Amino acid sequence: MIGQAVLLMCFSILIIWGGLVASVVMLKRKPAPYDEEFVTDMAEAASRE
Amino acid sequence: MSAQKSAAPAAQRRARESWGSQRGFLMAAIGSAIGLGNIWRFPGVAYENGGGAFILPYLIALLGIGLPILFLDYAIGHKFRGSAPLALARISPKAEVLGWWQVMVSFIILVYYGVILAWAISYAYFSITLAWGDSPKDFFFGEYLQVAGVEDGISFTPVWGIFGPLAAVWVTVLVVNARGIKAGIEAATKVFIPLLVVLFIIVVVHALTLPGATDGLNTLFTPKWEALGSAQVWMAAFAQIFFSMSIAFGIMVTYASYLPKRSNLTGSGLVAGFANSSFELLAGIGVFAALGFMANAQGVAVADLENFKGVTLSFITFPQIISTMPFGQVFGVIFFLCLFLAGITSLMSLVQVVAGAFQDKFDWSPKRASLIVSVLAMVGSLTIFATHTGLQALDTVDAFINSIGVITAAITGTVLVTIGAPMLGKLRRHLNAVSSFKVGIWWDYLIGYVAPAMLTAMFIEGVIGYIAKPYSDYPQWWLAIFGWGTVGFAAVMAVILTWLRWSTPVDTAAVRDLDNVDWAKEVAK
Repeated sequence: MIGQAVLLMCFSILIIWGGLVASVVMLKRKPAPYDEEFVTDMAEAASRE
Repeated sequence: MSAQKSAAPAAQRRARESWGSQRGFLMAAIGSAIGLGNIWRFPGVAYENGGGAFILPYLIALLGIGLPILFLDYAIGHKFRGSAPLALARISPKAEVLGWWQVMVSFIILVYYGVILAWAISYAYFSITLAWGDSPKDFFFGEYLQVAGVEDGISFTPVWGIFGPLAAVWVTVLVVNARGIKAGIEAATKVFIPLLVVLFIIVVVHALTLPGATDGLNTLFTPKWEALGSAQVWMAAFAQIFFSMSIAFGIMVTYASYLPKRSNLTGSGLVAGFANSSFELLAGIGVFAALGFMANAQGVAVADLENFKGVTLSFITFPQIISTMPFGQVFGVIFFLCLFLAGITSLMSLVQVVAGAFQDKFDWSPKRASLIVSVLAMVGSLTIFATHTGLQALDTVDAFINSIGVITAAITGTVLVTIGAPMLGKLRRHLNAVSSFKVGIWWDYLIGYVAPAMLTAMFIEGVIGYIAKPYSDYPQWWLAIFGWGTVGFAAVMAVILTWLRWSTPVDTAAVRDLDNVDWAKEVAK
């Protein structure tokens, strides 16, 4: 294959498939949190009402 | 408007269905995004718009409008907990009509989309005997579709070879969707998507082992850097991302509305977005490796081949390749099965957009809504698209509903949350409150300025093109019916459906923000 084509193919794979792997890892590592600050604010607001 | 005129104020809305797991939602979202366009559109678009250099505008489009609009859909669906009309009515009663516009656009797409799946099933079967013989083109247009010219008028005579598989497609979709979100769509996509990936990897690996495959990859990936200076190339990248991600016309709003409150919205969006692009890239590699083989067999350059995209790529070029390659029959069955699997998961999501909207507005059960929507779509499909002029009808409706219907839905959606009922800040806070990946103020600018600007440019380009020159040289009466007429029909139906009464209250207060979450309990967790 032509050098530039190989480079571009590898770059595309790295970025897109790498992005997929990274986002899966991120999703697994951080179990759906509520933003603590937001939650605390809302709880305070609720207690004031 | 009608959002406020509830017929039965005392009536309770049915308990909302929900996904069984985050993985189930992800599979369904990925299944919706991965469709026929990933396999037959991306490779050709990339090749025609800079080859390897296309990856740059493509990535910018993915990060610049694809993922941000996907997050917007998730935020609206999750925050306002409804199908597009209900969610938008909860944002502003006047916005309900936009929700129905999205539903009608989805309905029109699903009516013709099923036909292509019927072709794929037929071709999986034809692959066993290489039924197309020496001339796949004549076989496809003549023997299989039995295409007649539109000059003789619209044909309502069924082509039985399409009619049967199409009816089978609709029965499959009906059965799956009627079982509901968890037992139907989620259960089906959990099987279909992994199966699609495995089968498609087999296709790609086989294509890569063929002589000439590297010529195909060279053709696809050799960069034409000068293309980056062309506005057309950038528009093509944005259009590819926009049309391949199933965004901005109600699908993801509907799917996100079935998520539990504690859901990682942006994290799921990143996975779905990158999974969609990953599959496109895989398809590009597989398709161009196969094209390289064909060029090698014919002793020509890959660039000299024709039919790089769409229907002709799948149903004319690929049969040619299948006929000449080793293990062609097996390859053919798997390839067309992949087309079918990619398409049916998208079709199920389109049906759910419409069925979900009717469930919300008229308090129908999932079974009833799916039955009515699927039967209506099946009748439309069989009457218009399984006929001798079905191909031309499909071509025209597809072009107009995408470049006018889908894009106007996206433009008005982004303008609504930016100017009409400004709430980008609220939606961003909602995303950040429940997700691991935090979006910043940049998201507001991308949704408020960049996305509408790019979409408007795409819209103007499409409309000017259709006005300046009759689309595909079809007669004006034909375009008036299947082009502008389809768009007009969707608009009229959207207005009528908006004016009909809700069977249950729209109950905006109960679902706004995360008000119904017990925050003290959340803090204690």
